[in-house]
Amino acid sequence: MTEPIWSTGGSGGEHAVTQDLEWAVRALRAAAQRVADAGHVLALKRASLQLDPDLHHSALAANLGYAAHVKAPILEDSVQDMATRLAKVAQAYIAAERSARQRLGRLDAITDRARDLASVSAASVRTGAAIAVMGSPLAWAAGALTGRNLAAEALPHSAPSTTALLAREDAELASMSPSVVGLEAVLALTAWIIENVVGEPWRGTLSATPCTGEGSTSVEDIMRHLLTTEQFNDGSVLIERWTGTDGLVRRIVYIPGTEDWTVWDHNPSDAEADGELRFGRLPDAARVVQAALTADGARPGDPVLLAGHSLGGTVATALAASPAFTKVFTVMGVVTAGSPVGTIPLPWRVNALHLEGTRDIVPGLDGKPNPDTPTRTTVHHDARRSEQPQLQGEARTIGSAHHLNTYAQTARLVDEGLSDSTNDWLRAQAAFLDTAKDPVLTSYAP
Amino acid sequence: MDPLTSARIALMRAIDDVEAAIATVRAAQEVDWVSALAARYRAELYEVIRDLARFRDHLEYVRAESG
Repeated sequence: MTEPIWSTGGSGGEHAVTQDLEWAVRALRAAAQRVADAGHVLALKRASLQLDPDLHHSALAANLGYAAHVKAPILEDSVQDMATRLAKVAQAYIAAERSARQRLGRLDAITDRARDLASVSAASVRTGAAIAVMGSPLAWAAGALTGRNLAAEALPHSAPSTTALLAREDAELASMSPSVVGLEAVLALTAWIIENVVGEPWRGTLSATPCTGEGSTSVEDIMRHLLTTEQFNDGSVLIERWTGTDGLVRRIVYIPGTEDWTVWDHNPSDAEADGELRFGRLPDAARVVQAALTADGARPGDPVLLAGHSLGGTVATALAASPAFTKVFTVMGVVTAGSPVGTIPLPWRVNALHLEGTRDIVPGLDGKPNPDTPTRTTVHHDARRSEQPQLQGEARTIGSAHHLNTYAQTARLVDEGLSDSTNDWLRAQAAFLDTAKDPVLTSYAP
Repeated sequence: MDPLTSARIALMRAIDDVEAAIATVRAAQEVDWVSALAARYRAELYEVIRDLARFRDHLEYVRAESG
């Protein structure tokens, strides 16, 4: 048994490989045609020389004949063969990819179905639960529309396993449809509330606190630092800063996940941020990142790596996609763990690594798989079927599958060399994971 | 036009064709490759360019020999 972990997208992804192969095949076919043209010209001339009694047996006629009838056809065939071979490589690659996906198909189907079921209810529970505490009639509306106890269903300990979800089959899904329609109405109402009722954008000041500790030299380290950041539990972001041997000041920004499931207190990493991102707006949690980078002295041209867990990963991706943000800060890479980011397109210069547990429902809350592009690599890890007993335990429930300890284990497998795509990502971000750096760590609390 | 001049023109056309083939493959080789297998493809295309260049050199030689 091998560890059930694989990657999609990135430089080893289907799109990148087939795109490159198409370039090569097209060029080789054009080159073969040019060689054929050259051979044709020489063959015609050779034929005309043969009609001339003075040149019939000349060295020139022999050379033209050799070039036209021996060398050119051999070269043309050779180039054409290579084009055909590379085209076959592309076809074989696509076939292998499809075969692998078929093997994973059942798993994907289970996961997708689980996500379909869980995402709507979980998202609604998030916003519904937050507003229920406020005493809003929206909570009542959610219950009335669905006829279910949403909170009880979506809590990790009571959530059904994906296998059980599959066993429900289509009848159950069909019976859920009216609920889904109702929940979408709830979400639309929630969007309106976020738009019109929730308070003004955060414009507060940050409190900077120096922190002790080592810098990140691996993706696993990044997960550990994210865990540390979440332990502040006040919306703080952590910034690691150092000057490289090339003179560039680099920073890794650690952005926490949802810490507060309400919408009214002062923690920007709250349910309101989840809701705002869901509707395409940058939340206060993103403004805190921007303010923290400014407070840390970041300037345009300073390379920045944004890392986030859950909500933090979505914030990181949304910021990397924001022209207003990238005009001021030079985002080179993004790392997310358990974050719904499939609907956020990233500029090509941002190299992203997305870690997703197949048991974790949160990355599927956007209902869309991550784009397969040369600069976006998604790692899928079915930790509950891991070879490592400890990891199986850590991913036992949906809640634990979302935990950073589990993602740290996934990250360790990436560090050890998972695929061409992940290795390329590591190479591209090597300057951020420099083992010789001596960084300054500062937390910025809103 | 005498047959030798005509042959030399034909050779120049053939050389131009092969040069164009080399340029096409070189352009593909220098494109911003995105896949992890880029190094391998580049090596394969380099071999093609080398073969084409040899053919071009041969045609140049024939042209020079023809006076």
